[in-house]
Formats: sequence, structure tokens, C-alpha cells
Amino acid sequence: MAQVIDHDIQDTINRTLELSKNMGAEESEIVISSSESFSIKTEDQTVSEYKVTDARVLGVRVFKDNRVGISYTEDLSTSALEFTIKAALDQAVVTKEDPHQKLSAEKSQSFHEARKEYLIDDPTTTEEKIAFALDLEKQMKGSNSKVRNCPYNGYGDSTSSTVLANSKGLLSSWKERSCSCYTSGLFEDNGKESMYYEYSIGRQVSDLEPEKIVKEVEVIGADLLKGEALSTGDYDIIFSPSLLSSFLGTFTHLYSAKSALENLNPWKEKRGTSVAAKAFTLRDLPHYRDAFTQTPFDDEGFPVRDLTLIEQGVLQNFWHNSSTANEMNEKNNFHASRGARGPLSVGPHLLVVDPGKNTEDQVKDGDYFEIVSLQGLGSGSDPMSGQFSFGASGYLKNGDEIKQVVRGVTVSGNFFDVLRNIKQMGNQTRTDSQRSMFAPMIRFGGMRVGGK
Amino acid sequence: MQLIQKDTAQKVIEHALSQGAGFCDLFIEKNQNSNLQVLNSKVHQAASGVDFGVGVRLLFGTKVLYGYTNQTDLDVLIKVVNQLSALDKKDPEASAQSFNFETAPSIHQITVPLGEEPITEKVDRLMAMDKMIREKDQRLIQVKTSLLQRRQSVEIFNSEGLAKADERHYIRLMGYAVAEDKSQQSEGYEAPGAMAGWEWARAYPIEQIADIVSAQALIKLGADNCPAGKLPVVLDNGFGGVIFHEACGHLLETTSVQKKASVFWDKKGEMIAHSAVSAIDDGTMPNEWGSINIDDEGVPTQRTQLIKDGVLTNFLSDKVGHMKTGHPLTGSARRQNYRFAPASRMRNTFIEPGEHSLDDLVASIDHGIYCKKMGGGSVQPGTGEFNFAAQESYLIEKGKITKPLKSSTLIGTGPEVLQKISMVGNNFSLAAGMCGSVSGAVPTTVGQPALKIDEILVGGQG
Repeated sequence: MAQVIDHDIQDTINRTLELSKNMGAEESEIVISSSESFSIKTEDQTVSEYKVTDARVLGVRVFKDNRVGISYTEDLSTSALEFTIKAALDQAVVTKEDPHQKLSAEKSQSFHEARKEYLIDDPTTTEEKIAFALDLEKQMKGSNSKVRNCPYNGYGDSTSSTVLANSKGLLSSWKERSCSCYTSGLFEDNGKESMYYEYSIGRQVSDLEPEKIVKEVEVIGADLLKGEALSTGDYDIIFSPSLLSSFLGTFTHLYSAKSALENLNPWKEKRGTSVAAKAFTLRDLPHYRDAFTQTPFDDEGFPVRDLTLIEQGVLQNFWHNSSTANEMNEKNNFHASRGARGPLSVGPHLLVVDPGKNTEDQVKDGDYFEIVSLQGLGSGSDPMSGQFSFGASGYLKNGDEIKQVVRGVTVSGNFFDVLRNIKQMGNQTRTDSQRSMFAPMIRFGGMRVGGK
Repeated sequence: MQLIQKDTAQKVIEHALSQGAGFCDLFIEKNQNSNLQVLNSKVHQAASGVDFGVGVRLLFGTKVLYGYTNQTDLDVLIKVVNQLSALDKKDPEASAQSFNFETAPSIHQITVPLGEEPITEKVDRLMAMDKMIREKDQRLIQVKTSLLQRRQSVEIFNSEGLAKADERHYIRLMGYAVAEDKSQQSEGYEAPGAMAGWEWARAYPIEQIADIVSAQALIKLGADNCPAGKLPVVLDNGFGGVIFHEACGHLLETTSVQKKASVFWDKKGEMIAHSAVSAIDDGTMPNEWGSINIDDEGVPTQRTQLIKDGVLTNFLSDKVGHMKTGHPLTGSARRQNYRFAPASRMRNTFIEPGEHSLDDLVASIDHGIYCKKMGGGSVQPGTGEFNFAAQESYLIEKGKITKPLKSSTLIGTGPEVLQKISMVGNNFSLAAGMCGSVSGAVPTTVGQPALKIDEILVGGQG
């Protein structure tokens, strides 16, 4: 396999490991994250902001006397590295003993050839990217006479890389390039206003779908002008694919072994018990074919594998890293998550909900509130009780018939109850705008809408 | 401390102007961060780090060209300028002024600069808070206490001769608890902060944090569902100020106004709120979390009257906002760090106190909600639609506070809710938070006395 680590990074790794050893660390691990990016924002058919960036950060995790210390720096000079390692060692002294956190003794995943499709050379010139963004804004403004303004519109691309190395010889690296565009419409009609935005991602400019997002913004933004509140009451809910991803993603601490060990996971004792409707099966499938990114290894350098979290409503597994697995006397399932600045944790690779048995027509049969826009989900959620409440807009529908455009309502419920109250699940898999989660159409019961 | 050679800064700026830029500024920043966390009555995590970089901004008219790098070498910075100006390069129209060096006068006294305190003292402080919370009630099954510190050193240079240095010390204590009873769980959270040195944390009454966190977690056990629908609401002081922050504050930043993506963009001098409402954004309040000495363009901070007796009096403006709208600079240009171009942002934003007591406000409501503690929120400036969460609330029945309620979200639109604030209390306080927007996350406080809102949509399950 080919090495994709540049010479400066390799040199920095070598220096840091050497310094760390000389300064008394028994073992060390280094994460170096780098990013180069370009972005433009447009306003009134001119470029309002043009941005180019180049930055990197190095994080170090040191092990001494069964304790772990972490620190990071954006200054990669030798003196700064020494300061950083010393800080990590000093912090290790006051941190609790942690015999479970160890560096991988697994056979090193020496080098990884970056997936070629994630590093496609994009031939689009800077001038063409600017023209692309300006055209996107022009399309948005021209899409509907009610578009008063296009306040957020732009394009961006970046190449990011992560290198993970440790004193046991691990050296893994990952690099990928991506781009995105976004647009928004501020609509006005007879003193009423509405706003909607969408975005598109890809590996190169030709992957982006400007016409598609303009159309989505135009249709929904214009519709929302007519929005009215629903009468207060209980409604069945269907989320748009991106918002389903947001909704299910708000409570992912429920699958965390780390949260369970910290006594911050309400499901800590619930493996083997029913936590959701029988139709609901949730898996973490890092190699899922249609995913935007398939990372080959976790943040400890272990190759990733599929994991079932919930099977037919029964909680099966938590995400582990090597430390949580060791502490719980279980097998590691390779969900280590760690950035250069933070401690070792766990996290998802790619969540996939199995399709259900119902056709989408069956799922949509009968009145339901289709949510296409929501606000305040994070701040309105209590991770321990499962209570949530957020502002929402969308459509009251029956089948595909729009009975009313909805705006200015709240949706409240309890996540644990809502998962048990899944009424129907579609048999077609859909994905969000980032292709980061895959799930069928799901009809939820048990939510209260606050309105008129 | 010198973050960049002055000669390097001068040459970079001169080069930028030679490429045709009308203005150039450099923002050099070094942040020393630390995060100490106690969980299960042990030091669970002790982390620190240094962020360092240079943000380079060129203005061609009002077009912003922005770049950043972690390096201060002249050739690297010249390369950044060349990359930025490649497509806009033209004959020079301005020349760089000589630097007039100044250290920003510090409004905010620091006795024990951050980073000089012994780590053992920090651990002891968090352990003491941990113990206080745990001892409140055996139903508190988990407690987490944290200390966040950030010592930010900045140097700002621009082509108009500005050359300033500033140092900012941010410190925040956090208490968090989980209560459990008969398989129900709920949480409590409190996180005061200041622009201050270690002396602030040393002196802070941590028993207050313990009281709030434990009470919040316990009261929500067995709480009733919050009613859903339009109701009169009393928002208590401190973090209740998030309503103004979301409903109005963001809409008064030229960040939105300059795009006409604020519903108030053309309303200066007009009545936009109930006459009971007067509001301020003030960066000069000594040692408050949202305070600054100078903003991130080097402009001295100030106290800005936003609304007086319901009339919109001022917007918050940065340099580009001023160029695009004509609204005067208010020392409000802020950014999360060197990776962002500055934008006009809030500082300490609050509704001024009125005359009523909290009891007056509650007694005026037959059936409604009393929100004792609010959580975060968000706003869509273009439409003024906002939301914010109620973390601890109670039912009001016949003018009395009765039973506790589960968490809920309140939504509305800025223009509408500002007209419905009919009573303003006299128990003013501020609360620390983080505000996210186009120039990243910045420390801000929200504040107010208790307010009565005649009617707002409450999202609950009841």
C-alpha cells in the first residue's frame, strides 16, 4: 500500500515521539489533523467573502504510571512540542489512574492508501468556482418572484487529512477532498416572510446539484409563506430524510459505552431489552456502499467493522473503544473517536436503519405532519429524561395530498416513548443531504404539536 | 509577549495594498486553553492546548478576502496575500500608515493571571463542588464538575496605522448532575463564567452552583408535562435574557442588517417593542463574560443603547457593516479565533430593569408558565423566527407558582414577542453563554430582570 504522509508530517511525528520518550512518557500517541480549504460567499451577485486557509494541529496523548495526559498545539516548533508534552505529562499526574487506556498492541495498520475517489483532482478553476457560486445565487433569485433576497449563498472545498501514530509503531493516515454549495431564499409576499436553505456535497464541482437545491428551496420556501399553525394536539410525524438524521442523532449517547461507564447513559443497563418498536433495527455499517465517506479505521487505528446497535427493537451493543471494552470486560468493536484536541471517546461511523415492510404509500396513508424544517432540537432536548421540544415547519398531509402548510408550531415528546411508538416503516432506504445516515421513511406516533 | 515581528506585519500590509487592496488587517492570536473535569469524584480529564495563527484580511471595496495560517514567516504570509488577491489584483489605491503602537487599556482587572494558578488548587475547587452537590440528595446518581480556562493574547495591525495588543482571560465553572428516581432521570446544569483571572474562581460561591444544579435535577423528577399552546409566560432573570438575544439581538447585528436579512434592517428610530422595553449591549462591564477591552478589529468597546422605551436606537456594527450600512462602529467586531473574519456580534446584552417585583409578574397571570431557568436557542434573522428552551419551569395557577413542569421550547417571532413584553421586573442579573454565528462561537452574556410576556407559543406534551 502506498504511503500518503508528507515528509514534514513524518518529521514532526518522529520529533514528537522522540521528545516524548526523552521527557519521560512511557508511551505516546500523536494525532495530526491538517486542512486546506477555499470558500466563497456571494451577495447581490458579487463575491462578498473569499477565503483560503491552511492549518494544522497536533494532539498528543502520553502514558505514565497508569495515567494519561493530553495536550495539543498548533505551533509545531520543537519548543512548542516540548511545552505541549510537558503539559500533558503534568496533567497526567493529577488525573485518575486509568489502567484500561492503553495504546494499541494490535498489529499496526502501517499505511493506508487513501481511496482514490476521495482525492479526485478537480480541474475546476477558481474563476469557474466563483462563476458557479454566482450562478447559483442568480438561479435562486430568479426561481420565484417572491424571492426577495438570497442571504446565504456560497461554495467551498477542502482537503483534510489525519495522521495517527504511536510509540508502538502504529502509523495510519487518511486524506479526503470534498466540496459543497449552499443557497437560501428569503421569500416575501404581502408582508409575510419565510426562509429556507439547502446544500449539496460532492468530491468535485461536477458532483454538486445546484438545480436540485434551488428547486427544493424555491418550492418549500414559497410554500412556507402560506404556513399556519396546526391546532394543538397529537399528530403522527414523518421527518424529511435530513431531519430524521438530526432527530435520531440527538440521542446517540444512548449507544455509547463511555457514557454508560460514566453513568450518563439512561440505557446503560438495557442491553438485551426492548427499547424500540420491533420493526426498528439500527446498525453501524462503516462500509455502506452509498455513504459519502467510508473510513477504514477508527481513531485508535483499528480497522472498522459492522455493528448492530438495535435489532428488532432490542438494544444489542454499545460503541466501544479499546479502553471502554477493557473496562467492561467486553470485546472492542472499534468505535474509537478522538480529535487532536480531545480525549479518547467513542462515536458512530455510519448509521443505517433497516428498511421496513410497508410501502411508502402505506406509511403516508392517513393524516400526518411532515416536518421539513426544525429549530432548537439540541437546546430543547434533555439527554437523560429523553424529553425533547423544538420549533417546526412543514406540511399536514394525507398520502401525497397537502392539506395545510404548517408553520409556527412546536413538537414535543419523549424520545424513549417515540421509538417504541413507531407506527410504520417504509421499505425504501433514503439518505440525508450529506449521505451520512441511511433510513427508510418512518411514521412516528406519540408526539404533541403545540399550535392554535 | 510579541506574537509577530512588527516589521513582518508592516511588510505584509504594504504588500497587500500594493496588490490594490483598499484596507488590510492582521489578527495574530495565541490561545492557551485548559479543561479540567471531575467525574465520580476523581479527576477524569485534564487537557490543555495552544492555538496559534494569523488571520489576514484584505478589503477590495466591501469585498472580504480572508486567509489564515499557523505560521508567521514573512514568505508564508506574502503567499497568503498573493493567493487572496490573485483575481482582484489592480493598481494600488491606498498606502499603509505607520504603526501607532498601543496596548489596549484593560477595563477588566486580573489579579491571578490564568495559567499561574496551581493545578492542585483547581482540583480542590472542583472536588469541593462535587462533594457539595452529592451531599444534597442521594437521588443524585452522577455529578460532573469542570473548569474551562482560556488565556487569549492578540495583536491587531491594520493599514490605517492601528497596532494594538490585548490579553483576555476567560474562566468558567460548570456543575452538572443527574437525578434518578424509580427509573426516571433528569439533569441539572449551571455554568457561570467571567473575563477574569483565577481569583474569580477562587472567590466564586460554588455552593450556589451546587444549590442550583441539584435543585434543577431533582425538581424535574416527576414533573408534569408542560402544557402546549399559546400562554402568558414569566421569564425569570439571568438566562431568561436569551429571549432578547435570539428574538432581537441577532437582528440588530449589521451581519444580518447589511444583507437586509433582518426584519429590523430599516426600522431605526421606529417603535419595535413595547414601551416597557429598553435594551443595551455593553462590552465595558467589568469582568463580565461577554466583555472585551477592544474588539477584534482593534476598536475600543462601548456601551450601546439598542432600544430605548421600545424605540430602536442603534445597531451593532463592525467595519464592513459600517461600510455597507453607514451605521457607526460600536466596537462589536468579534470572532471565535483567527480562523474567522470578524463580524458584528453581541457582548453583554440585556433588557434594563423596570419597576415590578417577580411576585407582581406572577400574580398578574391566571393560567400560564413561570420559566425559572432557560436553556439555549436560535433564530432565523431573515424572518425573525426564534426558539429557546425552558430547562426549569413551573405552572402558574391563579397568580401562584404551583407544580414543576418538564422541559419545553418556546417559539415566536422577534417583532411579535417584543410587543408582548408588558411588564419588566426589578431583579436584574446576567448569565454566561456561548453564541454561535458567522464568525464562530464567542463568549456572550444574556441578561434581564424577570419579564412577563402576554402570550407566546409553548411546546409541551400537556
